[in-house]
Amino acid sequence: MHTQLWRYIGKRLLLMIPVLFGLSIIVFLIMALIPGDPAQAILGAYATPDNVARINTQLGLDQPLPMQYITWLTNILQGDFGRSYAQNRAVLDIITERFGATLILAGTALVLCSIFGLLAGIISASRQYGLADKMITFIVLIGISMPAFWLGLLLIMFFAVDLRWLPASGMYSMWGGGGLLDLLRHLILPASTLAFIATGVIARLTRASMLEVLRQDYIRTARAKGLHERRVIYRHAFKAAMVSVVPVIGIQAGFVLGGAVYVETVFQWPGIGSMLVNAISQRDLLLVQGGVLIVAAAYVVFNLLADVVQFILDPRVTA
Amino acid sequence: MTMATETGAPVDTTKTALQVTDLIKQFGGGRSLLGRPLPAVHAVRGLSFEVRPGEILGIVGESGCGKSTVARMLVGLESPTEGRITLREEPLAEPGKPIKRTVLARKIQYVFQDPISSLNPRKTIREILSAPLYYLRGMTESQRAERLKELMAAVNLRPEFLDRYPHEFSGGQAQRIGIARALAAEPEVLVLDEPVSALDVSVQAQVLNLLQDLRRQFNLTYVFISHDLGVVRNLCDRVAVMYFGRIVETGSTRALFDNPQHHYTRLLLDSVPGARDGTLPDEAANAELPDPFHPPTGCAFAPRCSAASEQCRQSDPELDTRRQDGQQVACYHPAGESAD
Amino acid sequence: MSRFMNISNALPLARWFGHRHSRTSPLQLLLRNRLAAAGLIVLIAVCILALITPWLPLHHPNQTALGNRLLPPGSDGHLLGTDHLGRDILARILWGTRVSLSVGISATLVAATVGSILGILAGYFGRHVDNILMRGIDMVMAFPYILLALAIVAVLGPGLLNALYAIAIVNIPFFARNVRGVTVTLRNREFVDAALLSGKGHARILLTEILPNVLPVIVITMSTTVGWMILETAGLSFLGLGAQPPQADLGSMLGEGRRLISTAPHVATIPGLMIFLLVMSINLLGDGVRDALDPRLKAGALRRPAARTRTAPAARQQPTGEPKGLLEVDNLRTEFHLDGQVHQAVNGPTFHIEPGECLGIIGESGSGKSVTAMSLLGLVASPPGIIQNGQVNYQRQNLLGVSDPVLRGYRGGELAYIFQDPLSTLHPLFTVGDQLVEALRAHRPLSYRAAWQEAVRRLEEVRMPNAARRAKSYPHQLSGGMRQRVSIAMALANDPQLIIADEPTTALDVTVQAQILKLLNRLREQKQASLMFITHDFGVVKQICHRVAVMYAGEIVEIGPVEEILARPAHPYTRRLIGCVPSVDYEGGRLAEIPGLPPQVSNLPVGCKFADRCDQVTDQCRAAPIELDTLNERHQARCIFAREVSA
Repeated sequence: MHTQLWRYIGKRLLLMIPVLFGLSIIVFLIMALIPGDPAQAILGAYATPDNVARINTQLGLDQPLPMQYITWLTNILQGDFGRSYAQNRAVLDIITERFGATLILAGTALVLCSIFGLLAGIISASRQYGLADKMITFIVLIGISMPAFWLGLLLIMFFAVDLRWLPASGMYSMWGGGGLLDLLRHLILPASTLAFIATGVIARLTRASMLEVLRQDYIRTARAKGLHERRVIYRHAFKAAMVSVVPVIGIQAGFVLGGAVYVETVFQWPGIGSMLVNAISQRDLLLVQGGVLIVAAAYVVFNLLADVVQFILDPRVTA
Repeated sequence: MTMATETGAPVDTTKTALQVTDLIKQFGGGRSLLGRPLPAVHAVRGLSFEVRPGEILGIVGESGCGKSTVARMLVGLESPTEGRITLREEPLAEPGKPIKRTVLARKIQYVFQDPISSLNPRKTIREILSAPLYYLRGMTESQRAERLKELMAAVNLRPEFLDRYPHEFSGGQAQRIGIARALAAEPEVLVLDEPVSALDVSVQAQVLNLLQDLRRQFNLTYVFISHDLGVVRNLCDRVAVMYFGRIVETGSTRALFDNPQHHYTRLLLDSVPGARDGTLPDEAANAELPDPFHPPTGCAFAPRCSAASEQCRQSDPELDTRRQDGQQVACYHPAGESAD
Repeated sequence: MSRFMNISNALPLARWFGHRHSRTSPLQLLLRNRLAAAGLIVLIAVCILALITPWLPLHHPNQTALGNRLLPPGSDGHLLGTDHLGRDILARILWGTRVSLSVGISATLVAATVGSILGILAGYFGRHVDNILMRGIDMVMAFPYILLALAIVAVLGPGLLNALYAIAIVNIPFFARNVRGVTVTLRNREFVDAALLSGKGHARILLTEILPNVLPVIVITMSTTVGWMILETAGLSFLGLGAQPPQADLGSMLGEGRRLISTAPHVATIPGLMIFLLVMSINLLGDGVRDALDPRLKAGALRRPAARTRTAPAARQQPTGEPKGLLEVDNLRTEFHLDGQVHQAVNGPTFHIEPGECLGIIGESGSGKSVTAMSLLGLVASPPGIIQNGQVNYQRQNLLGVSDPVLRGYRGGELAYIFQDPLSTLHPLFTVGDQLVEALRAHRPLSYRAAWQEAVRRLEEVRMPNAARRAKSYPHQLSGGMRQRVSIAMALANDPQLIIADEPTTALDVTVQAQILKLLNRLREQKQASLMFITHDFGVVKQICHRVAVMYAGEIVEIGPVEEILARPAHPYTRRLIGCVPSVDYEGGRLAEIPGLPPQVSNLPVGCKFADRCDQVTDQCRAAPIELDTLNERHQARCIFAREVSA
């Protein structure tokens, strides 16, 4: 089993290379196909003749497209994502500074939505059409119909403005903060906002897969063996349902990372998402490029984790 | 020379309707991007047989023996990796040449195993049956209307069924529609792939009798694929027994059932419950097929065979004429003349 | 995000499309679903409002009036108040809804068209086409969802149209993947091969055979995606990347209002509420559409089967007197309540099993033989199954009326089941040893280690080669015959008194079937257990059964010793059923077919159920229910002419 697992992880890591490669091509093409003069577009308001010349040589914009890509990729592999002209700093520095905050937010949200989504889905399925199921179904429906940014505003209005229980924005208090407790207080609202919506998706899928699985012949076999219904649901049905839920949790990582854009904006969370929004409105394209690449890479890693869990869960997946 | 067969239909023994020579089919295979050979499943491993005009040839075997793959190659749904198929001396499939499906479909047609799945749920029976009339026979609308009535009558279905949808039919009725569709193309040969295995016995008998009638009525030649030995004995003039992608024994139905020569044929017949002398073969007999990715060099049945010798494990016996009536067996140590 | 439901649903959907049209149309089903109907009504109302907005007596949405800044809702002339520039919020909401709706719907249409075309092509042609198209789709999906849209807008520049493009592109993969999945299943259906053999070309098959079957999936995907697309466009506008001032859509209104959240909360809350209302109504409707187009839901197939079949009070009474034999079934009645119809699957069979006996139950599909077997220990899926009447008496208890813990004690203990398809009846994710251990430990206080050793011993008992090693295998690693040996070992784990085997050899090849039959027979003799063997094959009955009950339309039409029934069948159905089985031992010539079909269990005749297919039928046969006629102590038949038939 262990050698199998390592072989599988190794194979998946190898398969990540073309995916990352493809990602880089898409990101590069999006930027390369900007209508008009790319240097002008990249620099925007900072397009002094000096800067234009610099960026032309740095990105090799005077060369043919494939050469440009190679130059660009070589730079990135060496950690050179270019400079943010709006902030006049290296893109990599800005990203490293902000990436941690996004990971904390998205990671927390992902854990929360997985736990609550699975629980809600199981309860919903095991009491199909009961009161608990109806309530969960309704809350889930609200979750998937609710704009994240609006939910965030409502939570701020209620918990921060009216009740004054929790801070409305930021990651740490301006004064006297900085500890873990302070971080948690700031984390509660944005993480819940982000998690609420993803919880709905996971709960729905868990419910549907559980119901699908509970109709299978092997569940009847388990009952015919004389097993207690609790064991049938929590061992036999749940494990089988997880096979279709786990990949979706992996995909949810993408939604949570993407949704962070809104939530970070609403709560002024100092992560990559809010950075991206600012960068886009300032047309700071190299910063956008770097941010998108990094978050996409993080997503690829999350998906790899989901695949590995899937492999451990399902013996039919072969290395 | 024409002679009546066991089932009473005239069979021309001098001519060949369908001839299959050294047919091989591999799935997968080829090479990966890095040039490594990819694993290939050897589904059909060198198959030759012929069918005479008006005859019913039964192909019997268990799951995984490749009988359905043979059927699909005969009608051009798969192309052979090697070997050729000819119909009245005219090549239908040769390796490396694209299949001319419309030419083929006018001569040889197919009846599917699952009658419901072979009918598009969103089309009426009229639409389903009109397609071959229009695309293969180029009939005008009035010709089609006339022919549809004939077809429905031929398979004992009421003409008002034409405007219904497949889900409104039982399995037996759906299979008759499948047969009518095959007949619509006016083929010479019909390949029937387990056409009754999804049906209950009482309905199965209806369809088998219908097939007998249609053969006489339209002068058809059948290749009948089945795993059910009783059905094959009832319907077929000659039988070929397949094991692991090869024919291990072939002969007239009566000779093969009354005096099986290959040990696998014997095992098959002895395994039918409630038949013969009523004793089943040993319960612990090994029933595993060889690995289709790595077929053995010797006889594929050797690991299960009580008569297997070193020779059997070394080389694979070819089909060999044993008797004058054309019974052939691929075995170094065929069973005796009498079945116990 | 609701779209992820589709990926899991799309595949099974294809199997079911069009298979069973019930009398109710999808629209009726939709309206019957109250939540979906409510969603539809709200959505229609919103759409009408959005359509007639230009003709409504409203303020101009972009007309600023700095004197009227931030009026609260309910102010004179401004029903919903005004924003920070004094613009009328009601007017802006309605105009904004127009914009949001049209952008959302357009984006959906673009994504659906492009995605479906890609999906159909990839799914139908497979191989290289599939590889190239789907790898491209995978690349797009490798981006965290909204991020790619952001990157596209970043490059194209903010603006409503650019946002539309971005959202559409990002959503193409969902349509492509869903449609591809369905197309692949359709491609493997035989009707596509049949169309090829009918002389149709690929283009024609795609348009006339595949597309009509894929369409429902596209509709479902669209209906569950529109809401999300509207949310996304609103999101981009909220970030200032979609609609540009002064034009308003719901998202940009929210974005502008968010800075006033503590002073004038209504400016942000009202557009948010509108988005929520709109998306919620679309999602309710979308769920309804999905349910209406998915016939599995109609048939109640997605209802969770309870741990035990529902049993009416009439069936729960305790037995009076001494039960016959080891297990006695008396007047068992099991029904299925489906789609407003009652299907009487089991209509009062009465029989018993002697200790050590093998009783065969034979019948064609729909005869109720399997349902009878499943009813004994409450394993009929419920809903839709209900046991309405009857008794299953074992050790002076009616199993239909015992408590759940007592029933569990019998299940897999003294009374064990073997099912038909050994692949689907074993859990795919546990090793076979583990599943055996579970069966053992459910009834006996064993440590895991001891139970494992016992499990291996049980596998050896069913002649599993290399039992100790095979115990660690998963079901998919074993052949069909080996899997059925595992099922048998599992059933025998606790030395049952009775084994109920439901077509245990039907899915197997004939040589494997012979082995399994022999194995079952040996074990029954060794353990002196009884065997109830459900089958459709007279050969099997002849091979291993002592007595046989013949079932037709939920009734036992004949029961008696096997040799006697085979030699002198007393019911015309039995006689003709035996007659139409082709034999391997001799040429039969023309088979004696039985014309017609069995009656539908939702509409059974009063009298003899076989009357319509019988060649000896008289008026008397149809007049009243026929009782079992006792021919001799052990042989009974449900026919007025039983004595003449068997003579």
